[in-house]
Amino acid sequence: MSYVFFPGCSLDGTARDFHRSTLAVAAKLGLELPELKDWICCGSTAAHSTDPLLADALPAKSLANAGGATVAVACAACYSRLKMANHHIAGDTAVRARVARVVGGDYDGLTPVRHLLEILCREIGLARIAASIRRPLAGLKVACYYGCLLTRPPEITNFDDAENPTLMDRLMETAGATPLEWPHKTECCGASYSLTDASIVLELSNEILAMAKAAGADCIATACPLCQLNLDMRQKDIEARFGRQYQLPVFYFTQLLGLAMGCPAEELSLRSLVVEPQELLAAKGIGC
Amino acid sequence: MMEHKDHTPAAPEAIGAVLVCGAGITGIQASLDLAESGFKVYLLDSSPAIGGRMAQLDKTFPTGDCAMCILSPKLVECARNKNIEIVTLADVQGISGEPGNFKVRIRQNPRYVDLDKCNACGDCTEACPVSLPSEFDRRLGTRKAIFRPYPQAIPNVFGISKAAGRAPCKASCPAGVNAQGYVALIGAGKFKEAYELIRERCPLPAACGRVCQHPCQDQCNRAEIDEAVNVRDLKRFAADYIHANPEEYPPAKPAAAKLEAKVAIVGGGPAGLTAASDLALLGYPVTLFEAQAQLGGMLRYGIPSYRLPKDVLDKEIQYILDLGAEARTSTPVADPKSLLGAGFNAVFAAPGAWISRTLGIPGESVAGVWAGIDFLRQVNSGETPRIGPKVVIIGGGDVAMDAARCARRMPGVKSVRLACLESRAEMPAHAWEAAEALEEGIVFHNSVGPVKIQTAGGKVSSVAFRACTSVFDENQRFNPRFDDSKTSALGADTVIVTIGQGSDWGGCIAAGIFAGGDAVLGPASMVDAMAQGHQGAEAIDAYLRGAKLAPTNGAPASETASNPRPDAPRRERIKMPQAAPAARIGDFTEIDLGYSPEQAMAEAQRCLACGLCSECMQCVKACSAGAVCHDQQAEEHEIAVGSVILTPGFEEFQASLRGEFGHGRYANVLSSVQFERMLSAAGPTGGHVERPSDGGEVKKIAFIQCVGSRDAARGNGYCSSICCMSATKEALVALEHAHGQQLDVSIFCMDVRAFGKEFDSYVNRARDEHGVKFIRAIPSRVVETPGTKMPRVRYFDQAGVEQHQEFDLVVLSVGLRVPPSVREMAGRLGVDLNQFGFAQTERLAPQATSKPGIYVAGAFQEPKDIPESVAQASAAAACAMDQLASARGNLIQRHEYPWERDTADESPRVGVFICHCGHNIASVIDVERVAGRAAKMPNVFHAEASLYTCSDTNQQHIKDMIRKHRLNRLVVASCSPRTHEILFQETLRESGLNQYLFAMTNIRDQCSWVHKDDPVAATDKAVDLMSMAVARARHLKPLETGQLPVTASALIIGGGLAGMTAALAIADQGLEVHLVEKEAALGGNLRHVHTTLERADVQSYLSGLVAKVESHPKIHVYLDSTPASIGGHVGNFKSVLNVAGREKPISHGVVIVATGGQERPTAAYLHGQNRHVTTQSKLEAALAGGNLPPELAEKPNPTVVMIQCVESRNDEHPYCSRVCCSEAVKNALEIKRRLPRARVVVLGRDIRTYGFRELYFQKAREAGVLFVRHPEKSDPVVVEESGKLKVTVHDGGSNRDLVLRPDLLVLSTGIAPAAGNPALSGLLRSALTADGFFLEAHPKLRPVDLANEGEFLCGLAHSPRFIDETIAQAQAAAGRAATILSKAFLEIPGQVARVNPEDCVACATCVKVCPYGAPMINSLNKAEIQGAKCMGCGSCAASCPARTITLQHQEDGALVAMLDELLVAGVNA
Repeated sequence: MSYVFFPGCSLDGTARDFHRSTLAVAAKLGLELPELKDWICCGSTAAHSTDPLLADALPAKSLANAGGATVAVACAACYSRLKMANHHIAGDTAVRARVARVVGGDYDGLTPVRHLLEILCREIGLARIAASIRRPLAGLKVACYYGCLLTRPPEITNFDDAENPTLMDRLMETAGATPLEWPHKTECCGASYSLTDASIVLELSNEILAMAKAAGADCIATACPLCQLNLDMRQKDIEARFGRQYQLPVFYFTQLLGLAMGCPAEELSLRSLVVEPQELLAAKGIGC
Repeated sequence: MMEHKDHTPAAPEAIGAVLVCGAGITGIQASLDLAESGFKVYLLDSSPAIGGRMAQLDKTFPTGDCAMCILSPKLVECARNKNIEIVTLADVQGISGEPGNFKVRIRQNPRYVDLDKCNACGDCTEACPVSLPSEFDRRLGTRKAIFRPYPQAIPNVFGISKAAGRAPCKASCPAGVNAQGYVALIGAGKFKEAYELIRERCPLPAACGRVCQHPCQDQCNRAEIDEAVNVRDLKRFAADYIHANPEEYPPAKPAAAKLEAKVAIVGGGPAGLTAASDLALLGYPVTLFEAQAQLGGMLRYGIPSYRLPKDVLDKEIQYILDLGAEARTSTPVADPKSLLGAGFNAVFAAPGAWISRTLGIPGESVAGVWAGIDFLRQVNSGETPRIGPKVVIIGGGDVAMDAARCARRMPGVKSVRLACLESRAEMPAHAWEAAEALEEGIVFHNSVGPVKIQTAGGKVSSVAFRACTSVFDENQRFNPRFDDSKTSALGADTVIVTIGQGSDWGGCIAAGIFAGGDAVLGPASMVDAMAQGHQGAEAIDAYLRGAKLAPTNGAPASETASNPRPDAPRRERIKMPQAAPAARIGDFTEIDLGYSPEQAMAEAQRCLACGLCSECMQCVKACSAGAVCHDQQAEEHEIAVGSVILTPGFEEFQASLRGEFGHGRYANVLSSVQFERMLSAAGPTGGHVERPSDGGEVKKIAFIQCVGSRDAARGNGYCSSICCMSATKEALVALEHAHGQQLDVSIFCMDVRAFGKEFDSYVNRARDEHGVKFIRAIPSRVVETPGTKMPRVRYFDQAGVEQHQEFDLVVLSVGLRVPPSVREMAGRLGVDLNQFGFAQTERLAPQATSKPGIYVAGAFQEPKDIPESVAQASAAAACAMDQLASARGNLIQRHEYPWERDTADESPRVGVFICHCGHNIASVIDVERVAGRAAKMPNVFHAEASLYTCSDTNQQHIKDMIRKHRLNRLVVASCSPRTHEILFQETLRESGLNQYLFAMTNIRDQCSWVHKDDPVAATDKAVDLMSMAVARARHLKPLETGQLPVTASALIIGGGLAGMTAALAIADQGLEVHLVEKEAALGGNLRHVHTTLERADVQSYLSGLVAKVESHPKIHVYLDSTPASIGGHVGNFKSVLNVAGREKPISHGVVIVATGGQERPTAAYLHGQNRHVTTQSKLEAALAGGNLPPELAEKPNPTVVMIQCVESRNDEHPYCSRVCCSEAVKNALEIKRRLPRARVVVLGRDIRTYGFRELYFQKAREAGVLFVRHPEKSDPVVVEESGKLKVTVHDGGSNRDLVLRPDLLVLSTGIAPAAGNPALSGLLRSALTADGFFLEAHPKLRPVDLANEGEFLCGLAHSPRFIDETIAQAQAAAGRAATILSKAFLEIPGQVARVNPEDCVACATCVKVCPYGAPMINSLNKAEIQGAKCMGCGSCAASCPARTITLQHQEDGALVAMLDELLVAGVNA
């Protein structure tokens, strides 16, 4: 199967560490991820909460360029938007026609879209990943946090068990870490309120951090730039606001996987994490 | 169904038998009614026992009865009824024929236990090593592979669960060793039994447990979860255990037979030894010829002793020789044919493969180059082959590993290097062996091929290699390719070549010569060799017996079982301890150190039991009745029936599909069915409410309602009807179990749907007296708090505030749905299903399916509770009776008994039988001693202890003993009379003795079971119980059972829907009906109903019904009439009717009360004052025929407000009228249909549109009807403001007051009981409920029976209900009535009270105390008991001041004798 990679704006900006670590892991696996030609904004939030047509048209413009390849996505919001647009366009001829009119070309809504987790676990396969693990993350207790967008709505994303997804858990297990059974895998971090009412974000993200801590996590693994940002960058604010001490590094799952595959720390951009992971990694004997 | 009957009159050849599919309470009731009315019944169920879902319940609502206590007698009744044939573990495959004459194909699945032989003693379950999750307990507990779903199960026999395929471990063993079996036995700590099982197919278990290549383990399903079960090591453990504890295993028994024909076996390897063992066990004299000095073949000479110590092998070989095989070692046999001439009748040739293959390269014949096998043979013979310090092994297989590791252990060896063609990944050696070799310091050189062995001075100096680029070609054939440009060399003084072996066996073929082992297969594994040995032995045995060998079963069955528990928790494999690598290369001592028993058991318990039953045959050994038969097969057969009733019931919604609640993910989230099992005293926790996560105390419980109900998103848009009540019940039972401990219960729900009889008061009691909180919210999520594992429930409270509450336990009230297997069955029968998979029916014919002659009842028709199901069961039975009336009695079995012997002049001659009940009694009580004591008692002429007193053979024996000793009293000391008394009474009757000459005492349930720990005292108690029974027996008298003629007609009071339906259902069976209606026309309340919710035309249905009733020749209609008096009793009532002022006496056998009800008049909410205030029924009338009430006709978008529960569910009228919510929805929908812009607002506390009616509630909301929920005690307020209506209501959803100004205000007034109920209740001596409706005999299981025999009720006389429910009840009453009217005579039992009139002073105390109205003061002014009414309870006898009433069969003399025996004779003895 051949892939083209849709980085989205986050991976070009705030989540450059996600981008780099994704490419590092892909290189280790011999997985080629050429960037999708002429990709544009996925339309997340700003478009989809204001204009349904725009919300479908933006992804359509990008997806039409895939040229038969599967579109690989790392950002959960992009993934959600691309899947949604496909669903609307492929399922409703009127929508398809409207979209064709505004983007200036017909798009059938059938370009396959896969999240990195799906590609790694289902298409590359855990066996192949296991074979490329060089430094198992032994003793690292990870709370795998999927966020709200990957699994919902299940009939559209068809990602994994909507309430208790396990793809990332299995991946972390393969990397030698101990994924935790915890209940907040798909809780909302409040991302859509990031700009309008950050206090909601603090409250919701605090719930997630508190639950991860209570479950005994050493760190959190995420698959969404906004989740990572809220849990990591705002962790200090959350601690101050709620009088708690978490000190939970919040990784992208690709960073942890890269560590286990023996990628050098700089390829994984570990330094860009706000809650510094070095102490934890050193304590667990995980070199980087 | 009436339509069907009219057009398809029962054909003359109609068959008087009915198939009832599904043996829950519904199927049971239908069967009992049919069998009692003269029809043969096949009661079929796919499960191993009847009882269905009710058997799983702890208690019932609202009565609080123990479900099992009220169900169990029904089960026993079914079992006892000769005209009910119970067919369990069966499915319907297809149907042909037509109504009245169907042929139904039945598939009978195997039980693996003979129904007729099993005595349910339970010894098999004790012996069974396989624990499986118990489906009955919804996986909260475990059960054995041979099991009975619950102790009261009928048929009371065990059964075995087997998977569709065989366990992969077992299926993959070439030698046919039952791996799952011995693993299970080891897991249960039964090591000896495990060893025995292994030995059946593996004569060398300790060797095999060390060296087998274990295909079993490679196929293990556990690998999907974590890692395969360590099957081989477990086999080794079992063998080692017996070797270490030989006293546990008896020495070999000589063969059963001594046969003449002699067999020679050439080759003492595993194939030869296996054949020798098999043949010796069969009784053949066997001689083993072995070329080497000792037996064992490759096991001895090929396998190093660090893997298989020689003493282990020696022991096992000795065991085979002990069977009687003779060994001639160092005796090569060149030509096996010569043995045939030398006195042997057959030869098994298994000489092995001992010729090492050579490389064919220069230098190979130089000193220092060894053939692998020769090297190993020397090492394993205890010699020290002379090799140099630098060893190179050529080859990458297991023999190469053995050679390398042996060389590593040779003194003076410095380095061992191994070179092979294959890459590391391709090496053919087992991965674990390569790993162990690496650990021991052996160096691998992969992907090289030897070119030349260099020599120096006639000795090896090095080996030259070239690179091997690939070993296999595209077709995966061995075809190595080399790159000559890349060469290398390894210095060596010794080269050991291990590239395979061959045989010089020429394949000698002649009659009487059989061959096997490596010589035939080429080098193969030990287990393959054993397989060959078995086949050889079988072939030789067949040859010598002159029999043809059955087709070989060498190939394992193709179908293997899949993983039965994919969700099993991970549990790491327990590795067998090993010696450290550094320590082990010093010598040849064994590397693997063996399991401890604890380690072995723990490892064995990782087994998933893929085949379910492991076929270890322990049950066969344990069963003294010889009932277990593992080779049963499924069978198909055909039965002929006139009609089919479908009662397959329901299954619960799978709670885990609502993932947000975490069922299956969080230990303390249970389904309501699981919680019910937890509440049950017979359940997995013995009735203790505890947290499954840790068994901890429960202080807070939450119920979440509508999980899988009212959930259109998951395709379950209907309401499951029972969950509100069942959660309330479970809450109350949990509170009861808390014994005063603090227990906080919250029920999260949308509505509280307590619509049934007495339901609302039950809910109110739970709320007001027991503090159960009903929270109007459906939680959005449940999460588990880490650490405490408390489920945390998130919801929005009434004030709209988000709440998080932690509970110890969350119970999900799962809805009802139709199991896929039932949908498939319906498909095979050609019965239409509705969108949800329930049987498609019409409201006006609720029991008729789409296929004539097939009826439906119970939850498969629509979700419903027990009483509605039971009523439908009787209704469906009535439909079938109706159709098959002409065939009634054709197929029933009547038992003919011999003439009763007159024993009046005989002195008591008692026979006593003491039952072992397998181990149940005899393992505690010394039954022989009890029998011995009985034999010494006066009047006892025979006493014995028997294994199973109830068995068929023993009944014959009892008859023989009665004849032989001319016994006239029988005493049985065994189990419960409840289940077994009738059996022995039958035996008495068949012996010509009166059935009352029998005394039974229970020395099991209340003796051996409860005094397990004190056998001596238990035996004493059993002696006392037996002695008392004998004392009683001496006083028993034969009693006559009376017969009472039946007047075959029914009096039906009430000519509405209920009365007319019942009348037709009875009259169509050819029986007479007197139908009494107080008004001048038939029709009753139905005259005011125009359509159903589903828009069926009620009025034309009614006119059709009236026409049929009026024209029916068997129905006498009396209008303007009421009953003036009702006298007599069941079968023979004498009543007087007041017919338009004139008296008319009639005789009848039964009474059916169908007096209906009335709309409750109201003056509330300005009704009667403001003309725009109306009632739902008036609105319906106004809307009928396309009209509109004036308030609506005048405006384009009028506002209609409906107020629910007007003067209902309040203190004065606490009950719910059931129909008003749907009535409101119906009228609201009709208004919206006509005036889409009308504003319709329904105000109420709950909307109770249960079952499929929920869909119309949904439709109404979709149509824009607004439903406003107001809290309890805050009813809407209606005032008139300047001629306009103003309604103020508090909206619970928004928590604020709403003001509405309706053009039309519609009141949902409730249903009141009929005004005449109190008077009629007096005539019938039949009680009314506090609400004024008639009180049925039992709210759950006798919903249409009144307390007095022969009196029934239906329709609104019972409680408020819908048309379909009334029709069902009316037909049910008819069906119940038919059980009496279809008989010519009623039997009066012998145990009735009798008055000695001489001392009677007619004080009428007996008349007052009798609950059944049996005593009366007769014309002689003396008390007299009417036998037909007497239930034999003894109340009158106990209360008679003159002591002149005797309860027959329970006379004082017998009781005094029993006490004498216990207190006087017993003490003296």
